[in-house]
Amino acid sequence: MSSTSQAIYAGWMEIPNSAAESRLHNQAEEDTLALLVMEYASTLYRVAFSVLRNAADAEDAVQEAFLRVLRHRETLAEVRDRRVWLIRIVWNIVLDRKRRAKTRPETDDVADLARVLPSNALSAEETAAAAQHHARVLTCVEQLPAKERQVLLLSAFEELTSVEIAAVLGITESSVRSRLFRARNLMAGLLNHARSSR
Amino acid sequence: MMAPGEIPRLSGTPNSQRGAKDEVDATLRWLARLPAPEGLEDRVIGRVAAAPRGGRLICWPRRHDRHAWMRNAAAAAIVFVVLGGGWGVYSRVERSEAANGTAAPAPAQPARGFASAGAVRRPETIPGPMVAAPGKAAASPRTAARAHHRAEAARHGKKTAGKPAAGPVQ
Repeated sequence: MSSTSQAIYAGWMEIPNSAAESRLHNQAEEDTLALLVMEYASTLYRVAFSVLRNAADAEDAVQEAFLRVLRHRETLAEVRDRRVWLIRIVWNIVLDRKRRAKTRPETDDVADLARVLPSNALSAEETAAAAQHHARVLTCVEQLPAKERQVLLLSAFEELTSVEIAAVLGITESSVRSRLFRARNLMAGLLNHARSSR
Repeated sequence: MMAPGEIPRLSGTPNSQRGAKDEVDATLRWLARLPAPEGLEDRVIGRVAAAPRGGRLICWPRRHDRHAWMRNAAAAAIVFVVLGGGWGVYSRVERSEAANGTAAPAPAQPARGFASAGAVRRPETIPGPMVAAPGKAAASPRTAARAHHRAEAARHGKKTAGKPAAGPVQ
């Protein structure tokens, strides 16, 4: 074989080592996924916990969200805002779990809330009072209509703008604002009613 | 900024709308700021790494592949060879001359008896309304007047001038 034909063979007909390439590709995917986990797992956990109010369930939801990302890793390059995309995934998982469980989150369980509260700089009485207060507010949140409740919960996350909340929920920004307005008014009424009935 | 466990202080009267909204905001922000459990990232990475990666029967080429152009060139070459071979076979096939004529079905012959000798039966058409000739159809005014006069006479029981009466002979 002449040198020219060898060069052509080397340049045009060379068969790439597909096994090594796929290994490298998998490694790159795993690295990307690990970066995503390190960056967004905490946010996703907090979003999941705000709905489920259970640490184990929230962690499970986060893991399932990343497993879904792994399943659809081909589309990862096309995603513009990965943070909102991930929050949307975990949000759907959480809502699905809540729908399936058909049980209210244990907002009335003051002991659970007291366990999550930081114990430093708070006496036992203060911790108990804070937990009781949060439980009362969260009970009122659970009485809101689903649409208003979802917007209200997501609005508490400072890192989410109203545009991003709209993207997570799949609605317009003006709908987010109107639902938030309604939710706050309803909450004020519910809390005042609860306070006056005590 | 409030501490995570701090109870929100209400502004104004306790029943005010503003105070209630502040309470809600404070609780939800506390909920949203709860720290994630330690080691969450490691556990998630471990589970993701342990997850089975489903093999696929058909693996489409990836978009950002370095050798994508080679695959595309090979695919184009295969398409070219197949189409060229097909065209070569098609162009070399000789078409017979007989195929140029138009084939017509043979006329059906009766099994026995006489032939029609090319006679074609034409069905009789139904006679349509006859249009009278304009000269005959339109009666002259004189004839019409005479007919009217006869009709009047017959009504009043008079005899017509030209005809004998049909009554008994005296």
